[in-house]
Amino acid sequence: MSDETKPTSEATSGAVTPEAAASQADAEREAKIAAAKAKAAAAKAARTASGESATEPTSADADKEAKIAAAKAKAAAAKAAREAAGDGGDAASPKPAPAKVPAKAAAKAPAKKEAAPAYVEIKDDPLITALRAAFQDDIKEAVTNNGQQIIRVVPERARDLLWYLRYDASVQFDMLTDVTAVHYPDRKAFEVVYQLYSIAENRRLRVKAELPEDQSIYTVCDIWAAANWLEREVYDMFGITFEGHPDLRRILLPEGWVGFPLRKEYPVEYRHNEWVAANLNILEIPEGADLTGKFE
Amino acid sequence: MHTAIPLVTHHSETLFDAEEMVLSMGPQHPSTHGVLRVILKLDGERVVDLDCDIGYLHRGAEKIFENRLYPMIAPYFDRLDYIAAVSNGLLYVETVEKAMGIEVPPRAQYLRVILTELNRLSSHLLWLATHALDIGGFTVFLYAFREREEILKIFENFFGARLTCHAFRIGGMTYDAYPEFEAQVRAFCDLFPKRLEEYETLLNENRIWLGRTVGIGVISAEDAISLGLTGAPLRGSGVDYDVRKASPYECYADLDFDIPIGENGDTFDRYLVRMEEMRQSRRIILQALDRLPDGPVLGKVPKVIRVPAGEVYHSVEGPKGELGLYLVSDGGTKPYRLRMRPASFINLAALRKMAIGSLVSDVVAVIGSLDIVLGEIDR
Repeated sequence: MSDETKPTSEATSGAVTPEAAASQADAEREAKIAAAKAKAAAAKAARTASGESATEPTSADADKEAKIAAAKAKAAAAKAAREAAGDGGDAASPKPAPAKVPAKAAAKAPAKKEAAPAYVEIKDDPLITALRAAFQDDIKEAVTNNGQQIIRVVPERARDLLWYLRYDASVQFDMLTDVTAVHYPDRKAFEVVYQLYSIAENRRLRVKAELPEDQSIYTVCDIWAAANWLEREVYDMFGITFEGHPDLRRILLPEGWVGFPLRKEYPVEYRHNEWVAANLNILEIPEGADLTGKFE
Repeated sequence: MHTAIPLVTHHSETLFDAEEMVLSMGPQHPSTHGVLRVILKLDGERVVDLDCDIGYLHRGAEKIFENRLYPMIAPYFDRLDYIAAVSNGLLYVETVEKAMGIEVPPRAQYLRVILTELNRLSSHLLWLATHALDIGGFTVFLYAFREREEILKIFENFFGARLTCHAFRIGGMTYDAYPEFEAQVRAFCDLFPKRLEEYETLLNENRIWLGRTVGIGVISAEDAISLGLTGAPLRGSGVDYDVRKASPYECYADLDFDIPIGENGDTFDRYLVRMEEMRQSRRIILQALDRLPDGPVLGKVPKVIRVPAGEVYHSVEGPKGELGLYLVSDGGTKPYRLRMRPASFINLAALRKMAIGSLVSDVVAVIGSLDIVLGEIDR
C-alpha cells in the first residue's frame, strides 16, 4: 500500500519521485530558514547599532514594524519612569494620619426631608438660560434633584435639543452615557431618559422626554454611536419605537418574544409557555392546557 | 485500501468562489469569554461585517429589582459582573446612600476602597490571563492565576466567598476586617510588583504578542467617545476620563494616584493602560492601608430603607469601565425603576467598529482587549 496511497498529484507530476520531492521540499525549507535567520541576525545587528528593536525590513510591514518599535520604546520608557519615581511613590505617604472627612461629604447635602421631592428650579445657569431662549416652551422645566440637573422636553423636540447639546451649546456633551426609559402606566406614558456627559467640562445633564405609549420618538444614533444598542435595548424592554434607527431589533430577548418585560403590566413570575414549547422544545403542553404561564 | 473519498471536480467559477461566508463564532467558543455569539461575515480571512448575538444570560435583573426591597437587591449585583462583584456591590450601596443622604463612616470608606481596588486587580489579572491565552500565551495565564488566587484567598477570608463577594451594606459594611487582613494585603502588595514585571518580561518584548496586538483593533478618541466607551478602551485612545478622578466617591479624593492613558487606541495600548492601572491600584491600596482610621464601620441607617421620591444617577469606575446606576424612587421601600448602565454592554457595541476589516484571528484579540463579562451585558 505504498504507491497506491500517494496523492495523485505527486504520482502524476512527472519525473520527480516522492523521495526526491520530499528532499527538494526539505532543501527549500532549509534555505528559507537560513534566509530568515540571516534576516533576523541582520535586524539584530541593526538594533544593536541604532538602539531600535528587531524589525524585518520588508516594506509592506514597515509601518507596522515602526509602530511595534515605538510601542516597545514606550513600554521601556514607562518602565524607566517607574524606576526613576521609586516604584510608584508609595513610600512618600507613610503617614498613618487619621483620615479627613472626604470633601464629598459636604457636597452630599442631607436630603433627609421626607416631604415633597426636592426638585428645584434652575435659575442662574448660563447653559440652561441659553437652552430656554433657544427652545422656549418646548422645554417644560429645568430642575435639579439630588444635586443633578434634569431637563424635561417635549418628545417631538427631544432630538433637536440633544443635537443642540451635542454640537451647538456652550457646554458640548460629547458622551451619551445612557439611554433608558421609565414606564408610568397611570399616565399611559414613558419617560425616555438620556444621560449626557461632557468630558471637557466634567458635567452631567439628564434629558427626559415624556412620551405617550402609542407614540414613537426619533433616534439619536447619528449623534452618538452609543445610542444604537441602547435604543435597541429600550425597544426590547419597553417597546418604544425609535424612528430612523438603522437596526431596530430585539437585543437581549430572542426574536419572536411576545411582550415587553419592563413595562409595569408585564408580570414578574411569567413564562411564555407557548414560546418555550415552540422554540426550546423542553415543554410538552397537554391538550387544552392553560397557557397563561403562571408559576405554581 | 479504504474506499477513496470521491474527488470533487470544480468548474472554474465555483472553484474560485468569491462569495462571502457567514461564520457563527460562539456561544460556546472559549475566546468569546462566556456566552457571546458573534456572527461574522467573511471574505476569505477578512471580516466584512459582524453582529453580536447576546442575551443568553438574560435574567431580567432590572425587572427583579423593581420587586425587591432595597436590602434584598444588593446580592443580585454581585451576580451581574461576577468577576468584579465588589465594584458592583459598591455601585448599588453608594447609589442608595446618595439618594437617602446617608453618611458612611471613614473606616468603612477606606475598607471599601481597599476591597474594590483588590477586586480591580483580580479582574485585571483575569483579563490578562485570558487575553494572553486567546492570543497564544499560555504561560501568562498560569502566572496571573497564581496571583489572582492570593487575592481570592483574602476575599474568602473577608467575605466568605471567592467570587460573589458581599459585605457592603447600605450605610457601611456588615462587619469589620478580620485581624490578619492588613498583614495579608500588605504581603500581597509587596509581592505584586515583581510579579507584574514577570508578566511584562513575557509580553512586552514578545514578538508574537506585539505582532498580535500592535495596530490591532484601533479606535480613535473621537469614535471612542461617540461610542460611549469607558474604562481602558477609552483611556487607551488617549482620553483622560476616570470616574474616580472626575467625580470622586468614597475617599478617592484624598488618595494620590495617576490615570494612565494610551496614544494609539490599539490593543497594545489598552494592554499597557491596564498594566499601569494595576500598579496604581496597588498604590491606592497601600495609601488606604496607611491611613485606615479606627471607628465604626456602619453608619446610622433607618430600620426600614425607604428612599425619598426623586431620582439619582451615580457611577463608579469599575474594572471594565463606568458602571452607572439610575434610581427612580416613588418614596416606597422598593425602587420604582433601577437601571444599570452596563460598561461591558456599551464597550461590546464598539466591537463592530473595531473589527471590520481585520482578520478573524484579530477579532479574538479585540474581544479580549475590550474585557467584557457576559453576566453584566445580559443582566
